[in-house]
Amino acid sequence: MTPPALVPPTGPTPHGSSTVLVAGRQIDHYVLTREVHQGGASHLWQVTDLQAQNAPPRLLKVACRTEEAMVRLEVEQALLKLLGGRHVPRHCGQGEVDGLPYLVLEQIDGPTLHSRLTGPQPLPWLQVVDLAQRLAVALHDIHRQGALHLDLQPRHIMFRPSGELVLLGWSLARHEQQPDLHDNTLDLDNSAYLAPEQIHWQRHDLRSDLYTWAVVVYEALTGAPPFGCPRTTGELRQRLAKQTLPPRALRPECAPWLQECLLRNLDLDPAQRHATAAMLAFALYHPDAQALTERSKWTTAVPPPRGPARWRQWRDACAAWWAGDLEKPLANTAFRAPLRLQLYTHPIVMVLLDLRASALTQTALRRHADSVLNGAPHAHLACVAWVATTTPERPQGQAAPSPPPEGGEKPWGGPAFSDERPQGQAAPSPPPEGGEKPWGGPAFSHESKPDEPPQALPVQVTTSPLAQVRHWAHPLLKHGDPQRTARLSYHVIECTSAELAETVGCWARQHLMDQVLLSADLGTPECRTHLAAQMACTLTLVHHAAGA
Amino acid sequence: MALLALITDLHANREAVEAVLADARAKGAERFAFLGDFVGYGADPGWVVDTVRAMVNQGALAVMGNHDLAVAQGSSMQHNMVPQARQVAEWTRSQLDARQLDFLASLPMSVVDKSCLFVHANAFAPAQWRYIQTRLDAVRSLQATDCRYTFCGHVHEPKLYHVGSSGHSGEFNPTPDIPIPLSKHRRWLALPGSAGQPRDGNPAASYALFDLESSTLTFQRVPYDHNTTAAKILAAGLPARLAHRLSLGV
Repeated sequence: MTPPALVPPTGPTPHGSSTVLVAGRQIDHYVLTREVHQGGASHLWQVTDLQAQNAPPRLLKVACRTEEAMVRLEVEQALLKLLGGRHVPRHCGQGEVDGLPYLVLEQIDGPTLHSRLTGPQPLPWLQVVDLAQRLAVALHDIHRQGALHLDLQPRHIMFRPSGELVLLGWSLARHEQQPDLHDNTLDLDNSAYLAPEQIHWQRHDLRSDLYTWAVVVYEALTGAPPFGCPRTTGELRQRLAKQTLPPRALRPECAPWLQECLLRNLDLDPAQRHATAAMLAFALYHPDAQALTERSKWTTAVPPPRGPARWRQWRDACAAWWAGDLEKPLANTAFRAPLRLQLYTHPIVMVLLDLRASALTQTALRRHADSVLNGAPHAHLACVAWVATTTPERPQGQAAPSPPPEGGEKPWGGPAFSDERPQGQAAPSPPPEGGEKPWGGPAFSHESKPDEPPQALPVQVTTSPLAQVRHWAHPLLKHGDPQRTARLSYHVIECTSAELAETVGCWARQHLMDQVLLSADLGTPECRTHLAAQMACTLTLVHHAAGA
Repeated sequence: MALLALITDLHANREAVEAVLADARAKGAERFAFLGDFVGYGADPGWVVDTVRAMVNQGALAVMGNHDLAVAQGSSMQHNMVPQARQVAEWTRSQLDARQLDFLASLPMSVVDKSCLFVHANAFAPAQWRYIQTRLDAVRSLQATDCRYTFCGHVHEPKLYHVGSSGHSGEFNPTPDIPIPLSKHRRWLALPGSAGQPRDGNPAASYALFDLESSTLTFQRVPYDHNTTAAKILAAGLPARLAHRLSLGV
């Protein structure tokens, strides 16, 4: 039997929606005001919501009358209904008009990254780093909610007037709790931003978004995508065999750590990229926590490997791309796990250490941290020492330290401090070591040079807190096991006891922690209660007995 | 349009069926479709058949499953069943009265209601009881019907397949309680999973709710007292494995 056609396209033209949508027309309780954009797949109208007269104007997106356009808009409807948070446009309504699906979203009055990149001047270095950090945080936010964007490009990155970064263009996205309706056609409109595995129709790996993150940041840094804009499927596949110019060749002020991040996430093999966007963001916040390789210093194009090395590179990459279709996922490459499982197996865990605590307490905390590292072989452990200060040093008139304003960010015209960057890190360059207090509140410092041996153990008042926390963590390193060593980083927080809860909560939120470990006798009971209230992640109190 | 509850592979499991019906009613289901295999494996065939028959009399849909046919027609139809299932089918037949057997024998192989096809095994050969185990099986079934939505049983694991006009197909393991909008531009085959004998590792009874107005399908899992069911199976002298597997959902 021949299957029937599926809702055959009707209407006077393939893009027939334009013939029926005119200003003043009412669709359900929305009145069309003006057409904002007309694209190949959809039309965008500004609308007034009759049920919320005082609400700001909204945008109504109507699909064009083609099957693929309608499916894409339906995907967008389903996804945005499931997603929330400040990095996603708010879903205000949806429905059907003249047989075409429509979607109503909040209108965001801000520039897109594309409009910033088309200016005559390249994006300032600080803004590039800021963009890299915010984009990684935004990606982690949507991954955490079970979604993959898979169509990240400068046109789909917008900034609210407050500076918050919003991701648009969800029609090619997928959600782990919804069937993937996209067929195996490649959209060459975004060919410059497609991850290699997407070219091979793999749409289940969050590291595809990290590849695209690298392409977007590379373009913001150098003015052009790393592999150009392929115009044909053939060019798209040929691109996979090319080696890109290192960013420092085009933009010498690019720091080696950012080049390392970019080239790592541009790798053909997803397994070579960062495991999650949270780990990428953590690396960006703590540049010196990264183990830099030779490629971080490249200033000229490095020819791709030849002979057997080249063959091995292709074999590994192809294995990764096709691993999703195999019954037994390859051990060291991509794995076909639910998105959230991929996140859960790569958590970032913070252990908060009071350097004044008893040896018993510190041992208990260390043993629990060790059990976390053993139970989650891909976890990253951020060892944070709390140095209690007695006199809060604040600018005059500042009553108490407060977290930076939500979403505010300087480079895009918003407030001065970012909630995605540690306080005290005024510029998006590597934060200063040693715990300076540029704004007078709690100070953060960090150190992570895992290849260095731990310092000796003079437990004296004058010993650097970083040295002390490194000494505390030394047994966790398993006699210098390089894999274990690379999973630890060291940081210091300085604040008063009264500020502890707020400071630690702020640090944990900004660094996208999945879990915080602290001693059950840290501070006062009120302090611990306050700390629990500040947490946006799991908080584990470790008792002496746990480590005894 | 009423919310339609899709329940399949009840397998004479009274506790599971009671739990599923109560859950579906609590969630607003007003119509019911039973996709076959009301008997077999379980110890309460009479109660389950009477319940389904009463609901059919009130407007519910029901189609025949391979276990229903085997029980209704006796040993002549049991030759292709595994020995354990044949043993239970014979026992089940001895537990049902003539009216109950007549009801099973009178069940249709498939029912078409508007854009929905209800069938136990598949649309391409309903009486041959072939399983929908792969995407190709699903596409073959979808090509054999004009209906946009096909609802099948027989396979005891929840699954959703779709195919587009370009021929591209996909499969999906649904998450319970998450509504899935079924696009009008795709054709769909849904396996709600078994109410009476789930085999996906989760012992909770499985069924689905379909809203034809919004074309939204929601898979559901309902925990029930499988220990009582297992005790009844053992007390009836049926194979112990049938009791044991309920607690494991395999």
